[in-house]
Amino acid sequence: MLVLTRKVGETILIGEDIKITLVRIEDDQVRIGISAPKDVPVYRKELVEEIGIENIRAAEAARKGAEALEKLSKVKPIPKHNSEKQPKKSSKD
Amino acid sequence: MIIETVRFGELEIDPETILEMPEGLVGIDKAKRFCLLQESSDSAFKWLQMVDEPGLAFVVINPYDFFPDYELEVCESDAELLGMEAPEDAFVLALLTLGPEGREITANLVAPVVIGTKTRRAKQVILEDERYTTKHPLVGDALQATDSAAG
Repeated sequence: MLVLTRKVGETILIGEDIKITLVRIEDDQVRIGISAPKDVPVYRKELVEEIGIENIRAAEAARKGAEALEKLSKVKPIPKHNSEKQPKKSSKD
Repeated sequence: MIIETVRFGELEIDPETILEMPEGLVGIDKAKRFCLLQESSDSAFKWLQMVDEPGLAFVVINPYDFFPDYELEVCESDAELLGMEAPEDAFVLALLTLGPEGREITANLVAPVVIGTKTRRAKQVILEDERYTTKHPLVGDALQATDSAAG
């Protein structure tokens, strides 16, 4: 792994399109600004790992919880207030 | 076509209804083809069943049924993948995790599955949105409904 030393406000370029700027340091926290093309996903690693674990748990729970689901299958949606709400297409990109 | 499922046995499904998830689910890369099953037509709960793996299925909801204020944005490149030109071109599912007795049900709102209705392509989208986590309890009206349905 390449390790670089940077001061607050300084930036690292990765390729031509990705910029990583050190925004602020506070105790043991570092605030980092990332500018990348919209087709480059940027996620916190622990979030991706947590989602992977939750997916596996969800699959296991669905296997084991089959009986409990018998009654769930009778559950109806709660009355909707704005059910027509749909995912927004991002306008900021 | 006939698919094998652990929960429903052998099922005849229309190949046209298969959902393709080219990138798989996060952490489960092999999960690329799904069909959406429902035990009763008025149930809030559906099953996202993997076509090529009989034992792999998820209980899912339409998150707006339980979290009316839920919001998500689909980025340009995902919208392209899903063939989504307008919000109406997609629907959203949230994966549930159930406790042992069917209690403590939580919905994963930080990584919903978005499905393009025109393309039947789907993607588990990761939201870098601090409001959402992998575990939102299904509470209040939703659980009361569970209790009354259980009688």
